[in-house]
Amino acid sequence: MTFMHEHWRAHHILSRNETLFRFDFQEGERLNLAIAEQSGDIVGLFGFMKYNSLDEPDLAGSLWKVVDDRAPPMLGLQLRRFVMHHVPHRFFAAPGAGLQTRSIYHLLGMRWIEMDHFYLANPGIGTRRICRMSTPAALPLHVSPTRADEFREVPNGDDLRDFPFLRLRRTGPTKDWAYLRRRFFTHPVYRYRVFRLSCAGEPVNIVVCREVAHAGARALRVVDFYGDQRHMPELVPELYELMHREGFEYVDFVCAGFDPRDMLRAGWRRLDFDRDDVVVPNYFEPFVMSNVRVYAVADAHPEITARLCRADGDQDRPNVDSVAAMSVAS
Amino acid sequence: MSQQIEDYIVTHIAERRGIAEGEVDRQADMFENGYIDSLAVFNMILLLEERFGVRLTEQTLVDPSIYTVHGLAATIGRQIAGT
Repeated sequence: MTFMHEHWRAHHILSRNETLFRFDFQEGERLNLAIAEQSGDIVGLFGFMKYNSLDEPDLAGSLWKVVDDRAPPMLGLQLRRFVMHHVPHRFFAAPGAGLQTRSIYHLLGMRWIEMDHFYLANPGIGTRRICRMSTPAALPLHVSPTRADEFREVPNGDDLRDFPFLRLRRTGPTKDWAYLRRRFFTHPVYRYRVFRLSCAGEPVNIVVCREVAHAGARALRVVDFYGDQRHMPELVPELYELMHREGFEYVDFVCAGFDPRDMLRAGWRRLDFDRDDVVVPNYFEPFVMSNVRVYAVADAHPEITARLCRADGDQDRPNVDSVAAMSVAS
Repeated sequence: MSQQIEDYIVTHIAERRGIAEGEVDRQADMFENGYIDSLAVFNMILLLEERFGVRLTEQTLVDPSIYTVHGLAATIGRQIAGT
């Protein structure tokens, strides 16, 4: 944690919040970190996270840092190689790649992905405080021939055990029940809202959301998604009604691997990063009224398509230590 | 061929560091001499791959023999020659 403070970013939450640090990296008695030491000091580290509990889980990278003036050449690459060789895994993918690392991943033969930012705008909001967009007409919905039976909030992870988490193995990362339950029902800082969509009597999607707030206004962020995305036309009307019922200015979804044409047909709008007449913020801690491009990396696997959401890897991490602190700050 | 590659690398380093090409020690460790850092090296290698039509493996990237101008050029030269 001291290394994080001194060499990653001073006062980074992971350098001062041991509970969150252990939540992110502790697995049993071990920490999922490869560390390089020199003369007793840490000179480099590569952190990783597992998306599931299979013998060869899908992995995300997190916290990749070397101390340039002390570390041997290419230590960062060696740390990464160490993890890739010693941690059995099927697929590697993570959002939040810094632009400065693009050449590294290109050299490693990995896919560089610019994530999409989709949103639903609430037409019932007159004055918008945390986004910039014109007031839309009512949602142009694609009328799906099969409507959802049920869309309900799930307060307990145990209610989701029957969901077919590992069915879609041709996409990655694949996340299992244990991951979802731990990641979203036991987070030490954030409170997530988890919803389950059922069609024709079967659970088809799980959608994980988190509320954000600023200046007395609220938005709902979809941060994770499970199941077949072909049910997006049934899901979007449910999100739209939730947004309207609870008074969110908008609902947004930062993601990759979802066909934009299908998303638009389902009712989502797609943010154009080259324009500033529509701004859907990405940063709330602190709040920044700005569109932000988010990049991701993934293995160039011949059989697995990367499908990433905002909360994958180490993203959707708090910058403040408590929700209470955030409420006071905003 | 290696000489041509060395000259290319030297020019790149000299331009980046704002020094004369004659000041670049082709046998010295590029990192220790401050010619390159751990991030800029990847950009340089990308340029070399594009310029000379090669692809360096991850194994090669962590081989210390490429940490000198001469060593890096020789490695690329061997790959071009198919040896």
